[in-house]
Amino acid sequence: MTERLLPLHGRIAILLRSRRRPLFVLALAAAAAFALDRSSGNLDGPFARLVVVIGIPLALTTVGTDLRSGLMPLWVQKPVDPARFYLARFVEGAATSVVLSLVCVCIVTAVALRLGWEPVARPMLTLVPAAFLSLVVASVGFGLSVTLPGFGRSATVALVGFTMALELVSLLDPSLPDEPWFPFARGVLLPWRALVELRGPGGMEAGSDLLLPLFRVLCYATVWIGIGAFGIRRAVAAGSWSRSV
Amino acid sequence: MSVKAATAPAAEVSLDELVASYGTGFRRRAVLRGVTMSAEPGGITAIVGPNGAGKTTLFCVVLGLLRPQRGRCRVAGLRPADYRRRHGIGYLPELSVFPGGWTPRGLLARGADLSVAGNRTEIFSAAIARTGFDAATLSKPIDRCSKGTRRMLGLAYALTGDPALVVLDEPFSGLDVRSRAALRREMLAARERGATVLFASHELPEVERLADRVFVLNDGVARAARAWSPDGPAGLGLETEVTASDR
Repeated sequence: MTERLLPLHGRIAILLRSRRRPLFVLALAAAAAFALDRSSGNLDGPFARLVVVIGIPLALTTVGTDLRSGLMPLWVQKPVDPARFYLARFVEGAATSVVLSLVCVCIVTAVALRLGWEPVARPMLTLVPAAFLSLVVASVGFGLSVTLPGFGRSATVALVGFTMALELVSLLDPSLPDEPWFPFARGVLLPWRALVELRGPGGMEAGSDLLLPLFRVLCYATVWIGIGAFGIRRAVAAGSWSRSV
Repeated sequence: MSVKAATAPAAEVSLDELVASYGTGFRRRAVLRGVTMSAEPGGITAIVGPNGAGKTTLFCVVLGLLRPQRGRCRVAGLRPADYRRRHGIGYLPELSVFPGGWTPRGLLARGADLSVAGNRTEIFSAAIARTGFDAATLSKPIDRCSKGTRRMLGLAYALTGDPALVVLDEPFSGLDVRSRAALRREMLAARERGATVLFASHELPEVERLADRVFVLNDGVARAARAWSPDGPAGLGLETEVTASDR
């Protein structure tokens, strides 16, 4: 068996090329957020919130997109295990999205340092949640794209939006976290709290306290990836992929 | 054109009283209602019939993408999904859809990478030769290629690695005279190397020219039209037979 004719870097180049439009839009949005941050003199404003989604278009809803567009038969006609094939593609996309998020933060932080913005330590710490939020959202997208092929992308955006809105509302209404459903919504829908703990300067300094949120985030991503892989096997066994032909 | 003998076993396709439907419960709609037919290795089997007769649904079952409600479908004695996962099935869908951002060269390289055993470079070279594209076309984004070019690319991709079972859905659609000739050559070459070629077409002259066996599928039921030798006399009245089955 000879080496692969289309190696990993070739596939990633194609992935970036195929998602160039959303990436361009997000890059423009990041530049605008960076400009907005000029007034405060640090990167802890709009940019910090936006950068976490920079790489998400690369990893989101691979299976759902292939099912809807009729691309599925292109891959599964070859002798491959569909679950392994799509998992491999998900890993490629998710890893690229994480790296892209980190590169984006590094470039902008370097520019901010060059401009003499203070403090830049806190934005640097957004590296951690930027990487993990990309991974978490990509995992949710992967799982939902298999279980809800027609609505995977919308459901993922709705889930992330709802969780973020919940956090904002809880800031305005301090009694909200006392509601019995709140911990469920915050902890199960998206491990937002864990991501915030990973991000906060206090959390970063606390050292060992990071392990628990990190564990929660990784567990969450693993569960959604597992749901996706199981869903693919189930769909193949049930013969329900004919809609893509 | 063949770079290696098919590593997969001879892929005889057999369908026995096959019933397949879409939807569930009250929304279930039967498309195939007891289809019995077979396709032999080293032969070209055509399926003809009016639009909506169930040709693509039948291919979905053969590809293992749709589980039959009743009856049996086997490819080389295996369930179609198992056969496909082990050996692959060359498939050209009616509408050639390709992912954005890819070039023909990249797609064929990916196809060679995903093929079973054998020398990938040789498989890739054979696939490139099969397209007959020049260097510029091979490096052009697929979404800027013409319909005919995309069709030939889809065919070359489906035949990458010389699969033992080739399923072609309306392969002649959108092809010019030269591409039709190339497609005929590829189908005959696949038959020569012992592959099972199964195709659906509305182009009855092409069916008469190429097929060893023809099945007429109408209203979810298939029946053998007739068998003839491709070397025998042409013009076997297939059109009359299909028209009669429409009534």
